[in-house]
Amino acid sequence: MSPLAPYVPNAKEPWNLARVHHLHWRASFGATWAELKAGVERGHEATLQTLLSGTREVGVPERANEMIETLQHAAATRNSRWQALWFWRMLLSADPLGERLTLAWHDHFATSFQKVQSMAMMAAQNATIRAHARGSFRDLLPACVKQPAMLLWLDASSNYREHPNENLARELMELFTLGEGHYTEHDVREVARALTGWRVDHEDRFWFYGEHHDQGEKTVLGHKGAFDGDGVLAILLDHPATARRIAWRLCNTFLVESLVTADLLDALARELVESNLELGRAVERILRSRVFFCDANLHALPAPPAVHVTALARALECFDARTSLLDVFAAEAGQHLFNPPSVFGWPHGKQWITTGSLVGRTKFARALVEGKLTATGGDGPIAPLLRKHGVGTGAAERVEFFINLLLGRKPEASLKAVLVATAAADHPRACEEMVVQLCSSPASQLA
Amino acid sequence: MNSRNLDRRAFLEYSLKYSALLPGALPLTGALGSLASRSRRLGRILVVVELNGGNDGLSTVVPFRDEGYAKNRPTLRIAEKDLLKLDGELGLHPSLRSFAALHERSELAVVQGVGYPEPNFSHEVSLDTWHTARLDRAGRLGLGWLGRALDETEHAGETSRAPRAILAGPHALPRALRARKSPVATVPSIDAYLEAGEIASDALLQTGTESEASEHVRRVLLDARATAKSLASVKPGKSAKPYPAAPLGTELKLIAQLIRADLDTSVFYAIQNGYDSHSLQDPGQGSRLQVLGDALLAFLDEMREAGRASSVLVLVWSEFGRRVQENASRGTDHGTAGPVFLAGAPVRAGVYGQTPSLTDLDDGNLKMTVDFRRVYASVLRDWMGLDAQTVLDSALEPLPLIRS
Repeated sequence: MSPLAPYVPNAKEPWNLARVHHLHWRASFGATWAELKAGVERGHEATLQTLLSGTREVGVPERANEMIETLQHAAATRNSRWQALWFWRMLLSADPLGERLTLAWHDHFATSFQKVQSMAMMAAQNATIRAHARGSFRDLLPACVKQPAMLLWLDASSNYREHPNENLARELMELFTLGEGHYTEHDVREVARALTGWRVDHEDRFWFYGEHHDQGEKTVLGHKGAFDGDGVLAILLDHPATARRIAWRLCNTFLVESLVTADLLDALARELVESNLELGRAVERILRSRVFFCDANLHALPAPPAVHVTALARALECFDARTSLLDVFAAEAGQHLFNPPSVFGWPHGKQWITTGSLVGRTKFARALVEGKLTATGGDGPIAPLLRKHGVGTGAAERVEFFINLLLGRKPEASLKAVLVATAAADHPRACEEMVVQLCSSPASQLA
Repeated sequence: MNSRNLDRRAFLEYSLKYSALLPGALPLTGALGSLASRSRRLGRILVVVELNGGNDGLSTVVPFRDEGYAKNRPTLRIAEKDLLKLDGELGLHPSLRSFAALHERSELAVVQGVGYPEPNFSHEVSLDTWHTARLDRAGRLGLGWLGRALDETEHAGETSRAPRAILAGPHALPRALRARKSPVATVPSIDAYLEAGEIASDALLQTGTESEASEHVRRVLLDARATAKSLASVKPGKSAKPYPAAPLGTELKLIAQLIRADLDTSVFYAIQNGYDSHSLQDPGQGSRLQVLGDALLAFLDEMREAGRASSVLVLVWSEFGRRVQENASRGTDHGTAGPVFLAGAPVRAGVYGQTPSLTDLDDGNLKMTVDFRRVYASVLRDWMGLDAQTVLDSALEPLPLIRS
């Protein structure tokens, strides 16, 4: 059977709440109770279509695109506002999958404002990634490496013919395309020569300065020619290792590590080559696959902090969350947007879980439940949520509701017992405390 | 009272604390002797400072007599008169005045030409190599050398899950600290933990046993709670020492505060970013080295005043040095070997290893003269009291870097 065989609901792997929840938390930014219920009722194909086509409706403000325009102008001056704006998109955009992919490519083409020192450049890069996130890698790669943010980040804004610096050349092959082991040190030096002349001009735009370019012959990965930067990109895009590395990046975004087998990567890489490196198609293949919906892929991966905080806010219907505070808490849990720790981007999988990040996640859960993160504040989102969805006053019923909403599955008996005991306490905010406990539990850190 | 007396007093207090656990009196022989010596080692603390990005060793410890230096560094060259001389051949970067002071005090060991065979020029591969002390691909993606060392150390507090190693500052956990069973904490700040209130209840910590993934989260959650408990006992810092106002200054100040609180933590880790100097290396590298030196000096002075000078060792390393010949962006590209520093009173001061020649290069790069695992072996054997061969899976000879 092909490793990319499609998922077809069946008795052993039924289309149910667990799988709807899984799809929303792994490939989107969480879901409200209405979205979860609709997903179960509408079925697999219709739910997937909504996600793939970027036509989410719940919570999405009317005229969202116009609002984003307005917010972009408001965000123009202060750094943190750009993070806030991105969280706003993650929480409310009609196309959450597009935002997940934008986040994944931000990790792949990791740049940080710490070195770039220009939020306008970071924002321009973000817009470029968003525009190409579902397109062909043949467009995404050149668009990203020619971004002024990237050129400054990898020291290519001053690249002269004599003794070119190798930073962009090396990371272009190691991180953006081929992967370590698929090129030699000689290739690095030759590619650096080919990239000479790429600069950032006085108006912060990409510019090719012919007089700084080394026009001599180069040998790159066995090809001989007087290559310039575009010539090198063409060679890299045609190299089979590039397709495999993109396959690896996408698979690791959506699947637990143990399921990302060599066979799977080979199969997806082959399809990428055949489809001219179309990313949207490859993503759709993964999200339609049996491996994506298999039991081993469910509730097994810590969501990146930006996803975790947004998904909890969305599940509790905090649509008016102060997204600048989502940014603060995601950063405390280990992911500060536009500020990845290094050129390799952020940690992956279980490396998200450290003592410090769990403390951050715990604090976030409490602040969210206590209503400290929303503009309307008040007593927090729990009571209105219970009223809206007609949940009764019984501890067991309330626990059941929040477990379905936040975990989407039957929990361990011990967790259920802890939560029922907490919710049943004689205290006006017992239910709030129960939700904090649930959000701080080991189970809630996996989605 | 001078610092020597303070050290002595601290040692006596320490001995008394542990001798109280021993049945009978003080003649420490046989099994009791080895228990006491283990106890003493438990009081020993290792502080690791990672210079992330690949520090240019050639402008950190400058081989000013080598004719290749001026030739390869037309713009980055530091004039001999500005260097802080270590001996007739080597001089420290002018920003490393604090290192020079440590050298004067015989509290600095400089190991020259440190690297590993068949060097890799990728940050990631080289960092993983240094973090794990393994040269093979599988080993490089496994547990860290410090994590394995802690796993080897018997420890009375095992059940408390109090952290055995702490990363200070808002960084991801470095692979060096990944352990199989030893609790390891990341502490961005003490307040980050104290503000959180209760991290998880006993009952909640009974949950999460359903899968390997959830077991992992549960274990780290346990460690987080134990860390919070440890941190709650830390008194507010009152250090008068002038730490530089930079992240590394803040992190070493935090580490000093944690050491003074006797947390039962034997390894501390700090990371200074920004050494990847492909363009305009000067003055960025100099200002980072300035922060490094000043922060370390403030830290070691605070340790001395707290009577801890003899129980704290600092190791400073970077994933690689840089290309001998500078590039046209007034920077340097990824290279190979570089200096490693050990600092603190326990150090047997001096310059170790052979300084690589700048005229006899390997494809433009320095030939390493000391395998980095020999430095680790010294730390493991002579400081942590472990069998270095077991931890490193290598029989490389340790260097005599630490006073016995």
